Amino acid sequence: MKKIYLFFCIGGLLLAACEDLIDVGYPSNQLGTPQVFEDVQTANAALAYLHAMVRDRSVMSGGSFTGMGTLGGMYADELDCYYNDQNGVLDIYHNQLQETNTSIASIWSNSYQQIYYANAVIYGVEQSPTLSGDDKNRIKGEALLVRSLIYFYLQQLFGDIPYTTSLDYEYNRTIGKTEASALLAQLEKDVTEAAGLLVDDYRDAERIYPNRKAAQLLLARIYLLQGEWLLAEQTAKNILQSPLYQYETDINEVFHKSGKHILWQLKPQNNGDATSEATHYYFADSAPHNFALTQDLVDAFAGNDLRKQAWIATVTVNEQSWYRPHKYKNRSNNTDEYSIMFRLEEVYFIIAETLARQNKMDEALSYLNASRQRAGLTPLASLTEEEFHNELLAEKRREFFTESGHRFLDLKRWGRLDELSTVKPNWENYKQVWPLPQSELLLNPNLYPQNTGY
Amino acid sequence: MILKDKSDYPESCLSLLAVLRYKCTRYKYEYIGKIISLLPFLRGTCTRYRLLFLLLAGCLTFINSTYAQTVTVTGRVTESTGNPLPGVTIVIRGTSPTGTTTGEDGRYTLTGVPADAVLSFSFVGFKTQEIPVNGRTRLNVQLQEDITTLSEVVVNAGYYTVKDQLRTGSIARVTAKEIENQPVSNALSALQGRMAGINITQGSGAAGGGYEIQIRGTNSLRRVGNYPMYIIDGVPVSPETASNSISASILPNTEINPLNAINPNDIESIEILKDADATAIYGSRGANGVILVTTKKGRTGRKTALSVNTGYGLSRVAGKMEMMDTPQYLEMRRQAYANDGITDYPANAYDINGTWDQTRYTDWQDELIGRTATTSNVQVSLSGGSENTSFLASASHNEQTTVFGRDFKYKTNNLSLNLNHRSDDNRFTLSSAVLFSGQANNLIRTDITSKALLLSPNAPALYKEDGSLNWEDNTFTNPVAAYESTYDNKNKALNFNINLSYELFRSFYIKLNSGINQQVFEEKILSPSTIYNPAFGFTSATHSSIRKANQHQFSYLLEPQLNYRCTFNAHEMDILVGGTFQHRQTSALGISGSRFESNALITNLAAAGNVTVIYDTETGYKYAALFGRINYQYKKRYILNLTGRRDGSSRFGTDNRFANFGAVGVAWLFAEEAFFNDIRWLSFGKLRASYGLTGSDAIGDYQYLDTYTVSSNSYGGIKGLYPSRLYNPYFSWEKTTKLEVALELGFLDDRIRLNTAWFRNRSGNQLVGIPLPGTTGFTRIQANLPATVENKGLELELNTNPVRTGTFNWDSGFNISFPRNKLVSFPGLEGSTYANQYVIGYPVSIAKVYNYEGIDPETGLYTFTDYNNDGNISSPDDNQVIKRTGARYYGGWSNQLSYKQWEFSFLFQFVNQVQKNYNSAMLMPGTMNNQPVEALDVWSKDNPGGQYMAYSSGVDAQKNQSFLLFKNSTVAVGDASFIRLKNIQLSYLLPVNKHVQNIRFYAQGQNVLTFTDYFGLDPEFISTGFLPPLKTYSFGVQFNF
Repeated sequence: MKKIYLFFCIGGLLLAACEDLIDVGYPSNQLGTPQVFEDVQTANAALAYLHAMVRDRSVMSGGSFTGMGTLGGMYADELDCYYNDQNGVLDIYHNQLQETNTSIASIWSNSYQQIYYANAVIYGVEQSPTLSGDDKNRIKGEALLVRSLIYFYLQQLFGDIPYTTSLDYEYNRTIGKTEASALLAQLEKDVTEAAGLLVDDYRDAERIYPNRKAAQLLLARIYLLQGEWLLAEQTAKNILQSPLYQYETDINEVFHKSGKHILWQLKPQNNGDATSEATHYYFADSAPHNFALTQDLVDAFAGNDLRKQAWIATVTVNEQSWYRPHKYKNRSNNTDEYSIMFRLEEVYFIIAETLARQNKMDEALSYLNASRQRAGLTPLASLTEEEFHNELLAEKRREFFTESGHRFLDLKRWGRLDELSTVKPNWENYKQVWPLPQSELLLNPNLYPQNTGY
Repeated sequence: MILKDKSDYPESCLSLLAVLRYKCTRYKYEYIGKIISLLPFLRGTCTRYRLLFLLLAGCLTFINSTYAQTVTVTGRVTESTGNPLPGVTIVIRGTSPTGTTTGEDGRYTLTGVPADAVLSFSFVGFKTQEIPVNGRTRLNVQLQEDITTLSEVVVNAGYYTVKDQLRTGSIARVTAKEIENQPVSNALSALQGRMAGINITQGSGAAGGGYEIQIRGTNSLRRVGNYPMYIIDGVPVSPETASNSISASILPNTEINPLNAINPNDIESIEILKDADATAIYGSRGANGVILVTTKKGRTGRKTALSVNTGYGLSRVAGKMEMMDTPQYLEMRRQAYANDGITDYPANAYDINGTWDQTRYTDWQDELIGRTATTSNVQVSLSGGSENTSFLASASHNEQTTVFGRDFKYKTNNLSLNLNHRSDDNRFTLSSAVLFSGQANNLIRTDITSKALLLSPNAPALYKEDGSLNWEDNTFTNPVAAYESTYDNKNKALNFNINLSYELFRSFYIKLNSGINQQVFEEKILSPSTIYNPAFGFTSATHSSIRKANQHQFSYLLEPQLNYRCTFNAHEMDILVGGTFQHRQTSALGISGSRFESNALITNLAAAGNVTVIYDTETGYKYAALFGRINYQYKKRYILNLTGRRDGSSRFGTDNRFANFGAVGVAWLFAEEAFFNDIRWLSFGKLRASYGLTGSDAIGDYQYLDTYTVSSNSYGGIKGLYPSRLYNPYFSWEKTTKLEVALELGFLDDRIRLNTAWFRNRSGNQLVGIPLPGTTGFTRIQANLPATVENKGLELELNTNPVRTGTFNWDSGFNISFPRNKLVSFPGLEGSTYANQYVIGYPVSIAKVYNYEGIDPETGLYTFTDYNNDGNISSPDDNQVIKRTGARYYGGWSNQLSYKQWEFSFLFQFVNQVQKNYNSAMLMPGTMNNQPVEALDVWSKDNPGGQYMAYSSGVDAQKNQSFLLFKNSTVAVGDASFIRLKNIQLSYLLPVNKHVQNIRFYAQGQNVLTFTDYFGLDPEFISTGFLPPLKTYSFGVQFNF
């Protein structure tokens, strides 16, 4: 029996050593969360990831299958879709949205993932004992702006949506929806705070990070939605007054990265990489595989409109012609194009819209004519209110086609989405909001009811 | 103390006795004392017995010395086929265990045999024969094989071995005989259908990938949580080799099975541990069963033998679907546009708008996956041994091509060396196995099997006349352009094991099992711009890329153990205590390169204009444990087996790192009882039961940390950092309690063996990624779910030996398993994120589907039961029908027949199951995708019984939605039962001459016949989009020198 005791003695000794035996520390590719925000370099890296996501996978990104540039364009009247991948992209084009549409589901989950990242960055810098005040303000301001922009698009697409600033998954998994007007009020607050935290000076001369003026542009958009015409006008004019910006008069320079009209643009990952837009829309020597501009849009340009030559390419095969967006041109060795998020032209349109809404048509006209004149068109003179509204929408369509879903947002804001039914046979009024993804409703019943009509 | 029988002697004393008796026939008694005094260990530990030995030895010598007449006997021992039997033990009955053994040629010489003695000839697996000498000097003997000795089979249980007859646990065993020479590159393929309770599915018909193995069902709600533990020659290997983020989609789940690294012909046996009694000693890693692989060893006392084995095989896809031909297809397309009210065919409807030749027809299954693949292998092995040391060295090479239309190839090289040594005094033993394997797999990156089913039958030719790819003026997305996008992996694995044992005191052993496992895994994915339709205008500067990944894994294992065995009268005790320490370090580097001047340069990262490090990680896994076993036997009839383990794993947060596991097993060999003595037809009877707790830590490393991870995404030149996961340090081990009761019976001298086992496993504390809504920012969080999954079932194994004459033998084995899986409890399932996936009381593999009612004659759309009467068919209220998918029962029937030099065997595998069928994977009939001929049966007013609704080109959202529901309805789930002639083999053994001992010729077929009503490509492979299993015919020759 002595031997049995011996077993247990040896066993006991081994056991005592176990605790230390199985300690492995951190893996080489991970960094503890508190450490990330102790140092400005690593905090910047966390923020850089958020910007990279905005560029590659966000609802605002231009050249992707889940960004508003494409989806908004074909949901409205800018793009024809030839792409059938079973992810429901074709159904979006046909205005036949189902709550099971997987593209819609991925827009939703990608957006909230980016919102989480933004919230994590905000929380991280707020808790940081070591970051300087300036760094804290800048990082928090940028994250806040990005988060607000994503919420802005989600609200426009889905109507009432959940709004969270929390990292707590127990809270986020059962969160309910915030009503649209309350959400806009919250966004107004958030963007105002972001504008306060940010400064005018760009931290990168190439304007690849948003500054205070970018925040103000978003704020102006929000005011427009709220019907706060005066506030929107003042905010937009404040941007115009900044010496940082200058209206680009050369049509061929608009999508070049060095322009003084750019408020915020997104730099591709590597030097020399093409913008996602340049590769996304490209096709040649064949019928389109993915997308082409609608005939309706092409017909909306006057024959002498410089934009038609500069920003649209024609592909002819077997005597049949198709048109593709050609704003961004470099598909390789790209040295002069970045994807533009905000440009000064939009500020002009915002001012034009607010003035028109306030019945200041004469003043409004000059802001509308800026883009016309650059496109080689004759300036418009003395329009009726209705004519002006129509012209504003038509001109903005010509100016901003395939950019960030402007067309869809504009028609929606003006309450004129039903006009789509002339070219979109499946259009119905309830389609101004998209269905909430079924998978999300199943995982969080607090998101019920589904949007009307779905 | 009175010595009643010789089993009361310690083993060492018995051998001493033999020496003594031998000496005593020649020398005087006084030598005995001296000899004993020369053996120092007897002084201390055996003092009690010394006097007894002297007395006994004296008596024996006295008795023996009365016989003066001795002779020398020579002869030859053969088996029933006439082949010589080496290694047969020959002793003189009733006198002593001394004697001799037969040599390689079956011959023996025994001197000093009393003229009236009886010689006993014995050999494992044969009936012992006793023959009176009667003064003869020449005795030739033919031994008959003996099946009753099957119960003498020793089974490997990992940390210990146990006689099959005396085991308390559930251990399935397959030996070399069943695995050898099959045209498979992984032994798991040869196991399909052979073992009860074990369900094996190969991931893809392309070699070199993964297998799904379920040992007694699905315990975990996560797929990877159901991996069994693999132990090769005592060294645990990672169940998921190098699953890497860059792995190609050609390998399902990007998995590579660890047993790919072993040549099936090198395997001596595979034991699969199933119940608590067998697996609890593996504690936290035993929940899903343990697969023990033992490689072949040399045998002591054999002259050096050389064996050369070479084989060649041809394979084709085993199943095909009947698809529409061109007229049927075009008619479907035209009808689809007509139904949609579209008269101008769209510009990209090339198949019917006049762009493509409408008279062409290609069977794309033949074209894309219809090649004949070849398999060739050669193996050379050398074995031999002296009295104390034996070795076996083997080298093999195997090459396998694919059925894809290009020379893709999977190559393996294996080198192995097994070495065993035993000291002269038998106290020290060493055994070592070194296994090296080099695998190189060159494959297409993405499986094109689904393309073979979907391509329009009138799609253009793949190649132009000049041999270049045909894009048909940019209208044809040529599927074989993808051949240029290749996936290569190279895997070098070294498995090194040393097992040392020293008998410190009498029957007290100190042991060390140690091992090293090293893997160097390299992957390369090429994606040149030429794989894309030229219409996209992609160039090497924009769309060519290479991705390379290297993974280096090094693991070492130390398992010191103490083992004590003791016997008191009819009591036997076997005690084992040990510890395990394992440390696995993995470093991985993934790099991608893009922007090449030319596609000719893309194999070289240095030529890339842009190089990105995708990941660079160094991770560690540490595991420490203490384990023990106490086995108690009384009269070899009542057996109690206690096992336990305390585990610590680095995969859990500091508060949850340790856990205890254990089991108790009992067995009663009731046929040995006196009251069964009269029942002659019952030759063996055992009732056994076990109960215990096992666990699982298969959760991945570092999941409890609150960290940010370095990303390959960057912005403005700054590499991103992103939150790794939602933080939860509180999760802990998944635990499975296992209960088993089994009855093992042998009838008619064990010619019929029937094993029946009933088990019930319950897995709780489910370690899962709980799905979360998108608003949390993540899709899941790692946590323990308070849910219980139950697997219970009945396993039957019937082994019979209907015919056994000297020349003709027939063995037949049948096994069947009835698994039942059930979600027993799930607090808060209603309203939880799993509500749509699971139902309490049902298996975890259910499909909640819509109830299909037929086609509405008004709308022409599919109709489904509207359970909540809201006029809208939607989830979760209307997909109420619960379909149990998965196997209801499965098993196999194997037969081996031998007649003289001929051997014939075959194995049928059968599975009764319900699975999703092709309806669930179908794309809308009418779109530019080919369809199975079943889709010709379209509903119309004239054909009210039609199966499918009117075709649509995909622009009708109502139809799209209706079709989507159809794909998730009762018609998309169907019977997938099959019976498959899994393996059939014929071999002939040709004895040649003294230089070449014999030559064996063999021919084999694999997956030869399949009987099924399944609607789909293959009932065995239910994951669509992957190459189904191959049908293989092979032949080979084995030379034994």
